[in-house]
Amino acid sequence: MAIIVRLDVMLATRKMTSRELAGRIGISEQNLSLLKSGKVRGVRFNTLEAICRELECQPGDLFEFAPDTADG
Amino acid sequence: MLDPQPILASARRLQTIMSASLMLLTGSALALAILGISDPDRAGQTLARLAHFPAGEMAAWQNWGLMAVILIHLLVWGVLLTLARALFGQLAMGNPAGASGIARKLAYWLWFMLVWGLISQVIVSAVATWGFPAGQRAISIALGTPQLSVAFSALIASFMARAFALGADLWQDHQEVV
Repeated sequence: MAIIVRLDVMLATRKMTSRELAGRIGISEQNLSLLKSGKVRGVRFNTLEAICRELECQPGDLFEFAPDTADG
Repeated sequence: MLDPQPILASARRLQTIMSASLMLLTGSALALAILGISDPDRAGQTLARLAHFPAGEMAAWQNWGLMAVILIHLLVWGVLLTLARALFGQLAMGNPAGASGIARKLAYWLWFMLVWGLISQVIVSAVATWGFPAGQRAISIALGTPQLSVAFSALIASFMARAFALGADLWQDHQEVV
């Protein structure tokens, strides 16, 4: 996967649990866990907006692009 | 965010209607079977009259032949209603992928009902007129409004099955976006 989700790092630096964030942004813990592990097909702008608001960060702080290498 | 609750509730209601229809159909099949066993002559003559053939004296095998054709018709209807009930059940559970597979089977069975409808006309005409004098025996096949209606329904159901498959993919996509 070329997009790395850094949500767990942001949560750790903010000393916030997944459950707490999920409750604040109004999505299920299961969906937040899937987002953390990068096992989702997309993120809605309103989810991203809510995460950035609660974690006081920018979208770029949450994601990182790492090109896939040829040998996988 | 989409709220699927209204359509899930509608699917549950339609599932109940299909269950009731299936029970009604089972009752009709049982009534026909009882009539066939208790008075096969009357049952055979009634079925011949319903198929627009003059009802004369018929041999036992003719009565049973006509009843078998009608029972197969009822069986096909039973399969269609069972599939429709399962389809609405899957939709009520919020599983469009399961519903799309069942919709495809439903379309196949509608095509089968069309073919069986044509074949059964031949069988019924031959059986009902078997004992008639030479020259009055018939083998008939008709293509009219009922057959065209079933063909149209089967065609619509085939397209609906494909639409269901596409809808299931879109729903899966929607579920994987948080």
